[in-house]
Amino acid sequence: MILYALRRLVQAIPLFLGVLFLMFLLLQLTPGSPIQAIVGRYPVPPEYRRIIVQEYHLDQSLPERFVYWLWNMLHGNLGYSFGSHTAVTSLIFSALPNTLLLVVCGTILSMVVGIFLGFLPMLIRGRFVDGAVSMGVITGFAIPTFWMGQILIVVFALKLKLFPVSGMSPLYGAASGFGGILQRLQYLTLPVLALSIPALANITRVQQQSALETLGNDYIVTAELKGLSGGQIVRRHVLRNSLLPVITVIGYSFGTSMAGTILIERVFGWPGIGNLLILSITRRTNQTIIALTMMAAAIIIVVNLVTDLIYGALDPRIRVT
Amino acid sequence: MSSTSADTSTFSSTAAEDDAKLLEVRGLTVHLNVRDRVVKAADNVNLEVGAGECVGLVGESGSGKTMVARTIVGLLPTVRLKCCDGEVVLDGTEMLGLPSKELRRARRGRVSMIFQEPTSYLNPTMRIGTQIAEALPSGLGRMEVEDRIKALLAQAGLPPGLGIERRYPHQLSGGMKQRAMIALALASNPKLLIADEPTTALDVTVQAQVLRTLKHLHQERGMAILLITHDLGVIAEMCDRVYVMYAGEIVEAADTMSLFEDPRHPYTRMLLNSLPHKRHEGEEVLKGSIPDLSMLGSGCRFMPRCPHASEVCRDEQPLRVRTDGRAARCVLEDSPADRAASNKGPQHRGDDAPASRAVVR
Amino acid sequence: MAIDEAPIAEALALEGVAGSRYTQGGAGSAEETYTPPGRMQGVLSWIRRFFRTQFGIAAVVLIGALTLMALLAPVISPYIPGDIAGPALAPPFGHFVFGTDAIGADVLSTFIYGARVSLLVGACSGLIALVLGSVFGGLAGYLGGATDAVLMRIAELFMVVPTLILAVVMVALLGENLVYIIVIISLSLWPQEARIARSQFLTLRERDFVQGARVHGFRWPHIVFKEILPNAIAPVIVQVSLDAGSAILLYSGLAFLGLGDPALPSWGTMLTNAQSYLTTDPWLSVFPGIGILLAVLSFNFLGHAMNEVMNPRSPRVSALSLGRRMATRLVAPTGIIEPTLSEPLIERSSP
Repeated sequence: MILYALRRLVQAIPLFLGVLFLMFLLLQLTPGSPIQAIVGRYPVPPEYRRIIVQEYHLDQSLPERFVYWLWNMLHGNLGYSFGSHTAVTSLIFSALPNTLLLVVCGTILSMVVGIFLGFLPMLIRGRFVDGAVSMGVITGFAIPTFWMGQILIVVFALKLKLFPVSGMSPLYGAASGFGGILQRLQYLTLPVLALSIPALANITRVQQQSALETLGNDYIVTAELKGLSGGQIVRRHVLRNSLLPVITVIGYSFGTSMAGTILIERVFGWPGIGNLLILSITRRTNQTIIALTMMAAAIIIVVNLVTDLIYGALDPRIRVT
Repeated sequence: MSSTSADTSTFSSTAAEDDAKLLEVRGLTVHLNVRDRVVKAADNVNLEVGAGECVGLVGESGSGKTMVARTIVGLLPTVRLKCCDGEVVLDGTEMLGLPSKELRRARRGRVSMIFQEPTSYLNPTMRIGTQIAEALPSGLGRMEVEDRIKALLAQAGLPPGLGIERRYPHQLSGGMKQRAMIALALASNPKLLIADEPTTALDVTVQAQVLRTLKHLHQERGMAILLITHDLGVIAEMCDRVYVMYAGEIVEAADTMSLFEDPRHPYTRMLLNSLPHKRHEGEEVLKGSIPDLSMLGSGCRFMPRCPHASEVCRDEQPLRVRTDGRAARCVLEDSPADRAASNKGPQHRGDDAPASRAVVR
Repeated sequence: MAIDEAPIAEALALEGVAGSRYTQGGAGSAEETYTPPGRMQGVLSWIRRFFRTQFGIAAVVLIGALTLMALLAPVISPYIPGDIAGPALAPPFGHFVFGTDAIGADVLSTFIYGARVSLLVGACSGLIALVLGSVFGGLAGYLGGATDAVLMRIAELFMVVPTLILAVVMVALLGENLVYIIVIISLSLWPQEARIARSQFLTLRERDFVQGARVHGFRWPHIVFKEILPNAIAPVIVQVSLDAGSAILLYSGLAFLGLGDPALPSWGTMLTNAQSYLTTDPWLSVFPGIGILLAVLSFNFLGHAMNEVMNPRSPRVSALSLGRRMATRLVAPTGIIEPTLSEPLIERSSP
C-alpha cells in the first residue's frame, strides 16, 4: 500500500511539470513580446518590466528560460497584480477557499445523489425508473450549467423568494452562530445545485453501468447458488464492488466542477477564483491567469491522487500488494 | 470435523434406505433465442444420478454440457430462453419452473456447484472466510461459524495453519482457489455436487490433487458428484457411470468400465481414439468441429463427421437402450450385420442380440 | 462456461452483418485468417438499424431542424440580428415572438443566427478532434512501446486540466478569433478520441485478419488504412458525436464569459446579456438556453444511437434483473469491442 502510494505520487510529479511546460509553451505562442506575454496588456511600471526580464532571464535562450520559469513557479513567485495592487499569491489565497467550498459541496452532493440514482433502477425494477434515470443522465450532460443557474435564480430566488439572488453573504448584517451557518447554506444552495449537474450526470451514469457490470460477474452466480436473496446479493456483493469504479471518476468530476465554477461564479456573483479569472482576463493581467490555471491543475492532480489512494484502500487487490 | 462427520453419518443412512434416484432429468430440452435464431443447447436429455454416485457427463466444447448443469441448479437465462421442457427432479423436488424464492430453498442442502474458473466465481473484494460464511446455515454463533469454516477448508484440503479464511482470492493460487470453491460448495452440506470442468484451468499436478480431494469427499461424505468434463482421463479416474453428450444430445450412456472397453457410438469411439495412449493404428480420429447448434437438421447430429454415415442416418435417431442398461444413439446398434461390415468395433461381443428399440422421448 | 460459448458465438458471427465478423475476431473459425472486407453492405445495414432506434430518429430530426435553421437564417429571420427593430425589452409572444433585447433588437433573429456558430463549432471541432485523436491514438496503439507511452502521457496532460479552464486560458492568451477557438476546443477534446482509437488499434493489430494481411506481404499503409482503420473507427465516431455536443457547450461557455468571437451572434452571448436583466426580464435567458440544450442533446442522441447500432451487444442500459443480466453474458461472444460508454473517463494504469 505504501509502495502503491509512493508510485502514484511519483507519477503525479511529472504530470504537474507537464502542465507547467504547457503553460510555458502557451506563453511562447502568445502574440506580442515575451514580457508582454507574461505581464499582459495591463499597464505596469517600467521598473517591473525590468524585474520580470531579470527574474525570468528573458534575455537567455529558450531552454534556459524554461528552467527559470519552472524555478519561479515552483517557488511560488507568481508575480504582482497591478490591477488589484496585491501579490498574485495573496489574491489567489483570498479567493480559493470560497471556490473550494462551492466545489467540495457540489462534489459531495453529486456523489451522494449520483450513487443513489445510479442504483435506483436496481432497487425499483421496471422500464420506467430505468428510462427516466437514463434520460436524466443524457439531459444532465447537455444542460449548460450557467443557464441552469439563471433559471434557478429566476424560479427560486426571484419568483419564490426562497434563496438570495447572488453573492455568498449579505452585504450588511450577516448573522452569526447557528443562524450564520443557516444563512451561509442559503447562499450556497443554488450555486451548488447548478454546479453539480454535470458531475451528477457523470457519476449516475458510471454507477448505473458499474452496477450492471458487477451484476454480470460470475461471483454473482456463486452468491445466487449459496441461496442469498436478491436483496442480500445487491447489498453484499454488488454495492461495494460497483462503487469502486465510481471512486475513480470522482476526481474527474471534481475537475469539471472546478472548471464549472468559472461560469457559476459569474452567474451568482460568487467571489471565488472563477470570478478572479474573468476579472484578470478582462484586465489582461496574464500573470494572474497563468497562476490560477496552475493552481487549478495542482488541486485537481492532488484530488486525483487522493481518490487513487482511497481506491487503493478499498480494493484489497491493491491494498495488500 | 466432528460436526460434519455426524452430518455424514445421518446422510448416508438416508441414502441407504432411500434407493430412489437423487437426480432425475427427463426429456430436458433447452432452446435459446440468439438474435433471430434458435440455439438448441440441449435436446431431450435424460440422465440420472443415484445417491452417493459419481457420474460423468463428457463431451466436446459446446456440446451443451454446461447448459444442462445450469438448468439442474436453476440458473437458466430467462430472457434468451425460447423454450425449456422436461423434468428435473432433485431429491424429490421438481426444480424446473420454480419461482426464485422456492428455488433457493430447494437448492439449499441439496445441490452445490463448482466451476472451471474459480477466480471469477469468487468475489475479489471479500475474504474467503466471509464468502464461505454466507453459505452456512443462518443462526450459528460466531465461534461456531469460524470452526465450521476451518473444518470445511480442511476438508477441501486447505489446512487451518494457512489462515486461508482471512485471505482474499487474488492471494491464492489457482488450485487453492478451486479448493476454496469446494469448501464453499460443501458449506450447505449438499447431497449432490455439480463440478463443471473443475480441473480444466489448473496445472496438471494440481489437477490430480484436486481430483483426489473430490474423490475423497465423494467417498467420505457419500456425496454424489455430477462431473462435467471433456477429459476422458478424469472420467476414468473418478466416475462410476458416464453420459456422452454431443451437440445437445446424449449419444451414449454406460458404466465407465464398459464404455472404455466397448464404446458403442462412433463418436465415443473416436473420442477414445483421440486419447494419445489409446490410439490404435488405422483407426479413425475426430475431424472437424461440433455443428452450429442453431442450424441442426433432423437426422443424426454426428452424421457429418461420422465415417459410418449412411442414408438411414438422415432420419431422426432415437436412443437405443439395451437390456444391460447401456444405451447409444446410433443406427449401428440395430443390425449386427452393419456393424460387422464396419469391422471397427471390438470383436469379443457375445450378446449380439438386436437391441431393444426402447425409444426414450 | 467459457467453453460452451463457442458455438453460440459462432452463431452470432455468422449473422449477415458484414463487418461484425471483424470486430468479433476470435469467434470466427480458424480458416478465416484473411478475408478482404465487403463493407458497403455493412454501411447500409447500419443506416437501416440506425433509423430503427428512437435516439436516431430524434437526432436526425433535431440536427436536421437546426441545420435548416442555420442555413436558411437570412431567409427566415424577420430582422437583421443586432439591428434595432423596435422598443427595448419588449416581452415575447407579441409582435416579436421571442421579444426584444436591451437595445431593441429582435431576439428571434439573433436566436436563429446563433444556431450557425453553434453547429459550425460543433461540427468543425468534432472533425478536428477525430483526425487528431485517430492519428495520435492510432500511432500510439499501432506502434506501442515508447511512442505509446509518450503520446498517452501528453493526452493525460490535456485531460488533467479541465477542458473549460484550458479553453478559457488559451482563448484569453491567444485571441478570440473563431478559427482559433475551434482549434483550441478540439485541442482540449482530442484525448478522448485518442484513448479510444488507441485501445482499438491495440486489440485489432493482434487480430487474425490483420496478422493474415501482414503474412500476405501487405505493407503498413494497407494494413493501417485498409484493415485496421475501417474496423477501429466506429467507437471513435461515437465519441466524436458526443464531443461535438461538448464543443457546443464549451463554446457557449466561452461566449458567456465574453470570450466568443465578438463578430458572430451566439446563444452564449445572449445569455450574458440576459444576466443583467434577470430581475426584470427573465424570459431573455429562456430561449438561448433551450437552444443550447437542444443542440447539445441532438449530438448526444446521435452518439447514443450510433453506439446502439455499432455495439449491439453493449448493454443498452435497460431494465435489469439477475436472470436478464446473466442471459446477456451467457451469449455474449468473447472479445467484442468494449462499449464506449462504459469506459472510465480517466484511464488508469492497473498496478
